[in-house]
Amino acid sequence: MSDEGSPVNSPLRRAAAILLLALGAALPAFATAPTVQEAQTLMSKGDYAGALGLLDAYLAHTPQDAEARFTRGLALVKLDRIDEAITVFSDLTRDYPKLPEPYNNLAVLYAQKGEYEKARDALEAALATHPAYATAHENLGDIYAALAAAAYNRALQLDQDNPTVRQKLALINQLTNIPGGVAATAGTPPAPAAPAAEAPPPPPPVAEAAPPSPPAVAPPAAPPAAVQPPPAEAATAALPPPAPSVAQTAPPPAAPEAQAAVSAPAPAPAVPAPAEAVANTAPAAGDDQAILEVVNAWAQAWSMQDPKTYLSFYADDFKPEGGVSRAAWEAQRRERLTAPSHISVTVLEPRISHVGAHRVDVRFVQDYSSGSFSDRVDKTLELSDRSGAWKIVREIVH
Amino acid sequence: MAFAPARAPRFEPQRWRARVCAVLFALGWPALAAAADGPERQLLEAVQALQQGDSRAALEQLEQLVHREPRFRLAQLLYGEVLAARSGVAVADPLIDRNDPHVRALLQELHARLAAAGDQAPPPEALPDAILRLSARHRYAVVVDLPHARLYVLKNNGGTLARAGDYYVSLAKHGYGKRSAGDLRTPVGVYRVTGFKPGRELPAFYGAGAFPLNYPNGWDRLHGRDGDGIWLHGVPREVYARPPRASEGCVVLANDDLLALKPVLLADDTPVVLGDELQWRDAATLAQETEALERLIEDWRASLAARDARRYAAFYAEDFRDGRGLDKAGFVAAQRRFVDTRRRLKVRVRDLDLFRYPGERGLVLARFVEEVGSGRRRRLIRKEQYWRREPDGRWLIVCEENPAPQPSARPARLRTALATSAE
Repeated sequence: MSDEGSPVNSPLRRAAAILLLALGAALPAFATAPTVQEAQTLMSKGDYAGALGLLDAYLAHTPQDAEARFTRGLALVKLDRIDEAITVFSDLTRDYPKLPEPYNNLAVLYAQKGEYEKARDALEAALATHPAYATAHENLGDIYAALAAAAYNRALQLDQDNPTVRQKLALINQLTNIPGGVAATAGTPPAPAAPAAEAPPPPPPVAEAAPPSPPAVAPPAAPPAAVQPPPAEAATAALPPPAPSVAQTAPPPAAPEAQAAVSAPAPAPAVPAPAEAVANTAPAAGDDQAILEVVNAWAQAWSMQDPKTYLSFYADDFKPEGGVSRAAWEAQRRERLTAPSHISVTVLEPRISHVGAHRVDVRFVQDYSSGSFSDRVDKTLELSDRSGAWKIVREIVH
Repeated sequence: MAFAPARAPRFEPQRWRARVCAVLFALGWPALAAAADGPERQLLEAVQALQQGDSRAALEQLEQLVHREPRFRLAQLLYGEVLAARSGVAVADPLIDRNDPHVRALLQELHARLAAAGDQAPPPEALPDAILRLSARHRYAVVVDLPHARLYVLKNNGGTLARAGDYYVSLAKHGYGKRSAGDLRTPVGVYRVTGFKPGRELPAFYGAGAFPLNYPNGWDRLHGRDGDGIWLHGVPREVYARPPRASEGCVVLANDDLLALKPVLLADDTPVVLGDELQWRDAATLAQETEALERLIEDWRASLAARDARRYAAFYAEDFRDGRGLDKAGFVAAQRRFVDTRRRLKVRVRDLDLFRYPGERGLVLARFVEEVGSGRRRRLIRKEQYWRREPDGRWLIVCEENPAPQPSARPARLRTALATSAE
């Protein structure tokens, strides 16, 4: 994972750090030694160095006290001595393999470093002994999601540094929501909250055994990364869960174009068309020239990587192929238009057929290239005359 | 509270791997000809596990695979799918946008790889009918099944062929059936490589290197096909493989696969058949057809040895053209002059190869060395004859060439002994 750009990781790291704070609460009920209690009190006041000093002295003669070691690990995290903290939790997993919490915290720290696979292994180890450990389940889900998003990006050659990549935003929202949100229902996609509400780390959830655990109630320590406000697309990132069914993707995929029927003619489009070609022409049904101009302007908006103009060519009732929701489709198009460093789309050999007074099919060869990638496909755009402007109601690749 | 250091069961990835293997073994998963431990094999095993509903096992395979080949984008896509499914968290699925060219290209690649290993895989013992006879001087032959984006290696054990591996390939953007320069198609025909250009001497785009093909060959030139620079080459460093339709005419392989083919392609004059409608047959079926054609060549040889001009001329079609444009009358006359000057004529046909010529109906390419004379006066002439099956069932020669010995990938042993055309 080390090849990931840090702009991707830093919000995740921040989220992971928040999780860690929350996890302090998950410390099981130990017979807490007075020194450890004292250290916890210091930590709740923000005196992590002082707490660490106490714990080091205590552990010098009581080296096997699990809770002292655990608390020491938390103090090291607060002091940003992550590698030492990893050693502490790692040693705890070795000495007390049945305790899930050290695994969990280890996982959070690995995630913070972007080592998602190690994080995942640690969480799975926690779940091996405590299958119902809700926090580990949630964290594991997030780790899988982070791994999935990274894999998708590598699969689709998306620019790793591109801030508009939607998967990442969706992911970040969910990760940051975890601590305040879903507590025990692992596997339920949490509803993404309004992105604006995420600035301060929410109070930690009370997971399993909940002793009065001072470190957890110490949120003011600043998370490492600066909180960057999510871009405007964050709102559209609140996607319906696509419920990716892997088994369905495995067999050779048939072309999904089989579905017929465009939805009923919609009322007048509310969106004003920013593209000149659209705005200036008042095409009649027979005005092939105007229709071609619209199609060419559509291709040009795509080539100019201008999602706003590009999307304005689509009718309000445009139905994406494959049963995708309009919002999901728009978000995806936005991303695909902006991710490549350059795009060129050319319309070749267009043929117009009039299928109704206010309806035409334009079939053409679409020549697409971006970066080192290029392809040619036969495409049909179905356009409908909406109050004098031709709008795309359906887009089919043959 | 005391914590007894207990030996709790830890998560063991190996256990899952063993399980996948057990599942595959039990199913009798067909022996894939792809390198036994190659990345494609691992991808197929992951898909197999998914089809069994064992996403855990699939995840193990895919994780290993993306570590091993991080640039194998198709593997990354499937890995993402399995992870997203397991996460229980809403992760935007790129597969929902089938109009996206990148997604479509990856799905096409998946389709090609699965089809070549699954129901469209040729039976294990079957041979491509494009090669009817391969003389023992070739150690290998390479056949590309263009519609299925697959390259097959055939090993020649003294004239008996056996399959020895197959590889995913990418072809030209507009498919195959090249006619002219810039038509973005891969040629169909029988070719050979003319050398090897190591990757370090080429732009990064060609990856590990390139084997140029001798396109356009005699048949191509006769039909006015042009363009050049058709290579078998690798892929740039950023990718493991390219989509099935990606090049401008070349046949593109993963870099490891390309290098694995080096000894095959640089062996003695390995034919490279680019086939558009290959059929897979068992060796016995092919042998019957081969015997009939061998008899035909023998009759032709006998007519030449007997200096029977009428019988000899009857083998040539009325629309015959030789490599330099001579028509039937001119060609036969030239042959007769040549033949008549020698008193004793001994003719042998050596090293006969027979190809069912791809892209054509009822056309066979016979390649051989014609040995004329004996002893010190012996001449060796390389021949390429194109035999066409007429509507009445007869076979006639429509084109005959004495190709100059081309720059071979390796110095052919024969080359020094070869005289150019004796006419």
